[in-house]
Amino acid sequence: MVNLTPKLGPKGWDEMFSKEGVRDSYKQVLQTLESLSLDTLNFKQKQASDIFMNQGITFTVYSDDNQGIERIFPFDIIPRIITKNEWAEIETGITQRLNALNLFLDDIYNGQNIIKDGIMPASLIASCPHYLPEIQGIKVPHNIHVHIAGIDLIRGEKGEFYVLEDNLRCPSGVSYMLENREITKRIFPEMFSENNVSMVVNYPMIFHNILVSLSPRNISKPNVVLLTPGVYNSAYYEHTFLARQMGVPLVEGRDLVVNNHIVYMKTTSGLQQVDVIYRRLDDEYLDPLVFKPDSALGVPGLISAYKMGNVALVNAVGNGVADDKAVYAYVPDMIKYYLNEEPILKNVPTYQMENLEERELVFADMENMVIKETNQSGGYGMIMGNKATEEELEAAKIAIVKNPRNFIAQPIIQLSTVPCFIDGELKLRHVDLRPYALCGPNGVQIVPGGLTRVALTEGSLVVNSSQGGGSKDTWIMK
Amino acid sequence: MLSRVADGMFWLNRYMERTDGMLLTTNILYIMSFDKETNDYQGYKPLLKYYTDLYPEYITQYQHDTNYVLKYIICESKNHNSVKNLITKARENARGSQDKITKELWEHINSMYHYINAPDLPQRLETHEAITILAKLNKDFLLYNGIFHVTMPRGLGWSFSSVGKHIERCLQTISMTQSYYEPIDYNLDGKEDLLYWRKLLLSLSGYELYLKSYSNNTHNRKVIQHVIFNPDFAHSVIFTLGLIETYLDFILKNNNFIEARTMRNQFGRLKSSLEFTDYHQLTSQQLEQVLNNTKEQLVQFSIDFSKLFFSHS
Repeated sequence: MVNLTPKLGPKGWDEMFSKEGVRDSYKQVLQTLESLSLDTLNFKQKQASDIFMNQGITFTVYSDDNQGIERIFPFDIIPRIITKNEWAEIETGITQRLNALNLFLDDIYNGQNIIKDGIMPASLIASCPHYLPEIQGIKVPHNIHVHIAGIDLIRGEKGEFYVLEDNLRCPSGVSYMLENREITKRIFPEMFSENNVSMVVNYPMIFHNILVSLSPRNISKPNVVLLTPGVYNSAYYEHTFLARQMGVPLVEGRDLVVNNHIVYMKTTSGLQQVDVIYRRLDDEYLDPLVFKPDSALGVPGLISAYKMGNVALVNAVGNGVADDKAVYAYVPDMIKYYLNEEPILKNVPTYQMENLEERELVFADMENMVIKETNQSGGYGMIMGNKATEEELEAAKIAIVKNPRNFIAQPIIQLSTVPCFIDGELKLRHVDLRPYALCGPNGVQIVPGGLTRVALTEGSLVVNSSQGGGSKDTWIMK
Repeated sequence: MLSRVADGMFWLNRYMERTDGMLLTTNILYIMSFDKETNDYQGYKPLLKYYTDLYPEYITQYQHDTNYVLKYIICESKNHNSVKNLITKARENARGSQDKITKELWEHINSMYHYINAPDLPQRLETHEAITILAKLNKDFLLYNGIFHVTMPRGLGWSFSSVGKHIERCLQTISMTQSYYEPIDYNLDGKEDLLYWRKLLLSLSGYELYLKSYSNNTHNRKVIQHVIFNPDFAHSVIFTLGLIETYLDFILKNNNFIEARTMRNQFGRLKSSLEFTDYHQLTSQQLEQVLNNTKEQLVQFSIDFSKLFFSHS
C-alpha cells in the first residue's frame, strides 16, 4: 500500500486533486492505485512499454553510425478522466465548431460570402499557403470537407476548456487512443471494469461507414483504400492499424494509377477501380501534376479524377486554409456567421502579427507569450516566451517584422495537470486533449475518448510527441 | 490483392524460410562440431558455400572456425544473408504488408527482430550461451511457422507467401544436397556411411524419416531418393514442387492474364521432368544434371512469377 498523493503546484488546475483532496471522479482509481505495491506499479509500467515495443508501435532514432534504435512513444499508466458533464460540453462545442468549419470550407472554395460580407479579410485567405486556388469551385460529396478532425483542447487555470488548435488535414494519433485503451484493459483489468468508462472501440466501424457513404459509384461494396506515404513515415503504424481495423487495403502512391480520370489500384489480377481514398498524405504530395512535381509519393492525375467526382478524398483537398493558425482566430466569427450561434468552446486569445497594434502589445510582453508560425504544427516553429533567451526573442521579433502574416501570438496558458507515474511516484505533468470528430452524411459523431498528450518534462507545456511528449488513456465516464 | 503487398508477402516467407533453413544447418553443424572423432573435413563449408557470398579462400580459411561462423552467420551486418539482416528484411516486408498479415504474426516477427538486434548478442555468441541462442532462434522459427498456419487466412496472401516459402525450401534442399554430393562426384554407387549423410539429413529435418523409411547399408542412392523424390518428406524437392503447384493453381484460378497459362505450362514441365525421372536408373552425371536443371528452371520460374504478379504496373 503506497501513498501516491503528489504535491500540488501553486497555480493551475490539477484534474485529479483539488486543494481539498482527490476529486470524486478519480477516487476509485486512486484507491486502486494505492492498494498496489510500488513493485506492481513499476511492473505494470514496464509491461505497457513491452506491449508497445512488441507491437512495433515505435519510431526509429538514428545514431552517428547510422544504426537505427527503435523507441516507443512513452505511455503513462495512470488514466486521465473526463466527467460526463465535461464531455457533454466538449461534444456539443466540437460539433458546433466542425459544422462551422465545414460551411467555411465550402464557402471559401465556392462563393466566398464570408469575405464579401466583410467577416474575414480576403488578404488573410490569399496569403494562406494552404489555400489552394487549384480546387476553387470544387463540389465534394454531401458538401463535407472535414470528415475527420482532431481538435486540440486545453484546460485553463480554473479548469475551463479552450480550443488550442483545429487539425483538419491528416490528424494523427487516433491509433494511440485505441491502443492505449487496450493496454489499460490488459494492465488494470479490475480497475477498468469497476469504473463506468465509455467505449472507443467502435471508432473504426463508424469511420469505415462514413468512407463507404462517400463513394461516387452507387454500388454495394465500393473500394475504399488508405493511402500512406510508406513504411518510413512516422505515423506508418497508425496507417496499418486503421487499415486493418477497417478491413481496407493500405496502398502507397505507386500502387495507384489514373486512367481516363478514374483511379485504379494495381492488383495481382489486374487494375481495380478505387472509389474512396482515406489519404494520410499532405495536399502538396498528392498529385505531382498539380502540386509538387517531384513528389514520388502521390498519384499523377489524382486531382483531375477528384475534380471530376470519380473518386472521393478524405479529408478533402485544401482544408489547410481552415486550420491555419491565423485563420483560427476567426473561428468564433465563423460560428456566429454561419450558424448564428455563440461559440460553446472558447478560443485561446490570439494576436495577429499583421495587426500593428496587436504586434506592439505582444512585443511589450514577449515573456508571457507563445509565438507560433502559422503554417507549422507538431510543436515546431514555436517559441515559448518564458523559456526563450533574449537572443531568441530578438530573432523572433525580427522574423515577425519581416513576415508578420507568418506568425501569431497567444498568452501562455498554464495547461491543466494530471498525475503521471514517474520514477516510482505520482508527479504532476501538463496535458492536452485531442478528441477525434467524424463527420458524415448523418452529421458529426465524436467517439467518447481522445488522445491525452503529456509533457513529460517537469514544468514543460509542450506535449507534442515529436518534442518528447507521451500519452495517456482517456476515460470518458458514463 | 495489391501487387506490392503480394510481393511483400512472397519475400517475407522466402526470407523467413531461408533463415529457418540456415539456422537449422548452423545448429546441426555446430553441435556436430563437438564430436571431434567424426573426421569432419568439410566443417561449416556447406553452410558458408550456399548461404554466404564469401570467396572460396575465405571459406577454406573459416570452415572450421566456430566463433567466426556463428557471428558471421547470425549477426554480422556486412553479411547480407545473416540472420540479423534476413529477419530485418523479412520485417520490412511484413511492415509493408501489415494490413494483410495477422497481428499475432506481426508481433512475433517483431519480437524476433528485437531479439536479434540486441546489442550484446555478438558477445554472447562467443560464450557457451551460443547453443541456447541457437535453440531459441530455432524455436522462434518453429513458432513462426505455427503462428502462420494457425492465424493466417487462406486467401491470395497465403498462396503468394506459400509459393515464396516453397521455392526457397526447394532451392535449399537442392543446394544442400549438391554440397554433399559434389565432393563425392555425385557417385550414387559409393559407400559413404550414415555419419556422412547425417548432417545433410538433419539439416533438412529428414533424418528420422530416412531411418524409418530406408534400412539399407548403402545410402548414396537412398538419400537422393529421400531428399529429392520422397513425396512424404516435407523438405523433398518433389513435395515442395507439389505445394507450389497447388498454390499456383489457386492464384491462377480467377486470373485472366494471358501469361498465366504460359506460366502454368512452364511450371508443369518443370515438375513433370522430375516426376518422370527414374531415380533407380540415374547415373552420377544425370543426377548432377537433374539437380542443376531443376534449380535453374525454378529460379527462372521465380523470376517470371515475380514479373507477372509483382511488376506493379
